[in-house]
Amino acid sequence: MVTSAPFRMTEQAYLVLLALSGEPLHGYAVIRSVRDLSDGRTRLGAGTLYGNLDRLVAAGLVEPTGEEVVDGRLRRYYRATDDGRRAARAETLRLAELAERARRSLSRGAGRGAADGLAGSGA
Amino acid sequence: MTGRRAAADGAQPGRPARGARGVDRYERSARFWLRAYPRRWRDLHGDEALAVLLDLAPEPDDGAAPRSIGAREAWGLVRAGWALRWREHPPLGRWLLYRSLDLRLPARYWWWVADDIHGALNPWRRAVSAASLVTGTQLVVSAMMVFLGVVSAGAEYVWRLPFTWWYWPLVLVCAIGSAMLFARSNVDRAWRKHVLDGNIPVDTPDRRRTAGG
Repeated sequence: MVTSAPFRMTEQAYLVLLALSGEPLHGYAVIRSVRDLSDGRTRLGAGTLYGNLDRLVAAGLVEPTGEEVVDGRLRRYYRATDDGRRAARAETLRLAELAERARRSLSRGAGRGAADGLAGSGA
Repeated sequence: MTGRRAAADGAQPGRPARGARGVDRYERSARFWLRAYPRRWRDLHGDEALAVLLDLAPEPDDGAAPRSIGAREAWGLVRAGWALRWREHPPLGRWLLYRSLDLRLPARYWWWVADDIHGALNPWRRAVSAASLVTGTQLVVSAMMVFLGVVSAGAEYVWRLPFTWWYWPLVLVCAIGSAMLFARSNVDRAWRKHVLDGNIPVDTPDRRRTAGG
């Protein structure tokens, strides 16, 4: 079972996995997709892209699907496997729960801040 | 990478700006920095990585093509290439046993062994490890003989040999000469022992490679 291997899901690996969860993409398309997904915050270089692809392929979360030559350049396509899509969904759920906890924590902090402000103005 | 490259060059008519001096310089720069990766990785992914680097090339403002891939991209390749080498490298103990006593490594290092045997510096690595093994053995045996009182610890005795000025040049010349002279047969024998008859990996995920950064 491929998901039994421990995989360190970094933000970059998560974004690459997300990009490949839809249609198969080649390397440069993955870089563009990651830039769009992260709203321009994450710009992968070739080294970072292939570092993450290598780990994802080794973990069985991503697989190569084919290749073609376009304008004299070799394009190899990758896509997320079923395990990869499951891992992406699990990470998305984890991040959503984290965001929800963060939102609650911040709103509690804001409530305390408002109460402190009221107490301060009354003194 | 050459087979892929030939296939890619087959589509020459559609290749943009191929042959322009600036693009050639950029491509040479990209190929140079891709050498941070092991040869096997370059054989598998070199041409697609090169295509990505060419796609990432900045658009020239003044009509002049970029001359190199830039420091940030080069550093990214060096870091990722050496991280891959490090992830695949056997731990120190296993590596010492393989290097000095020629013991087989576990299956997960099979690819690393294949790279090592076909590496350009393989004869040099063999020479240095042989010289180190001879010196280490000689030091240990001599130290035991001194400890047991078989020989004196005086300056004239054999245990002081590695500290004389001529010892290392002599041992290294012998070891390097021998490694170069028998390079072909050494590679063939090592390939048979460690790759063909080695611990061949089955197709399962590699924990160390997946856990790395």
